[in-house]
Amino acid sequence: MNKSQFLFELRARLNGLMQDELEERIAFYSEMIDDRLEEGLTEEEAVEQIGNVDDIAAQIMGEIPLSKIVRNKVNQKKNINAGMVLLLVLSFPIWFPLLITALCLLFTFYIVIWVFVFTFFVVDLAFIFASIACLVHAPVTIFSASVGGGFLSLGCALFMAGLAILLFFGSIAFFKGAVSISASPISRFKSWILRKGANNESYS
Amino acid sequence: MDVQLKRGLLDVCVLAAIKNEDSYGYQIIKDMKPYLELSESTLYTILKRLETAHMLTVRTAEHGGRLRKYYHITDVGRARIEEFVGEWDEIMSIYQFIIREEN
Repeated sequence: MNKSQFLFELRARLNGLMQDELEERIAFYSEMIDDRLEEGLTEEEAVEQIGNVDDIAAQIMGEIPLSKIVRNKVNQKKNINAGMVLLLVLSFPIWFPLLITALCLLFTFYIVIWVFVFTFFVVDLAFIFASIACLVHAPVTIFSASVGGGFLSLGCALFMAGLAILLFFGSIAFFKGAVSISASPISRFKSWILRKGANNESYS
Repeated sequence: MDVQLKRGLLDVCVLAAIKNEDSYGYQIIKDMKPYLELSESTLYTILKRLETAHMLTVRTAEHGGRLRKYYHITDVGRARIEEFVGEWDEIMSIYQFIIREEN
């Protein structure tokens, strides 16, 4: 890949940035390549030293807050012509219910995940309480009613305490899983916006 | 290395790279290379952060028929280096605490 190819590819991938910020970054990389050329490297070697264009773009976009990208996207959309606006207004009955459905699905998705996690903790808590109850019940039974029944109770208490401990680690694992699953739609959304931007660039 | 720790360290390293004379992006990367590998995108972020914090100023000058950005350290930037050096004793005592022998 030569210098202009590299800068073109990078520009396409950073489409979500503000115009002046984009230009500044492109100028920065251009200067970095030129300085290497001055040292006697070929364009290909210089570009290779800078690194993979996908990785660079991913790192840059990763550092920029989602809100900033979205705001910029919205600002860019202000340039769309009247025909597009009309189309958007007329198709409102179609896309609005779809949007609501998508949001509802996303909301349901979160609820299902977190109810699942919540259930795990509740069950764990139930085991803890049951274990304590049996533990209290055991000595009472031993001294007042039957020795055998009391020891059965004690056995149950220990069994449920063990289950509670195991389930606790399971619950923690599910909680961590739920956190990462919850975060993934946001990062997907981010990369989706960026991909859209990159496509627009190549069409124009 | 821990991200927060590395970020603070990198900021001071970049300031140190321009403390004797103004420097430019590629030169900073080359100067730091023996000590730590710094990618272009990381350097850009650091330079932006330092500029926002008024620790350096940027000047565009012509070089060999093209433009090149030179970075100049400010008094705030120098104060940051001194502050960091001052913190070093504290960091070293924490380090001693971390590596102390187990009894």
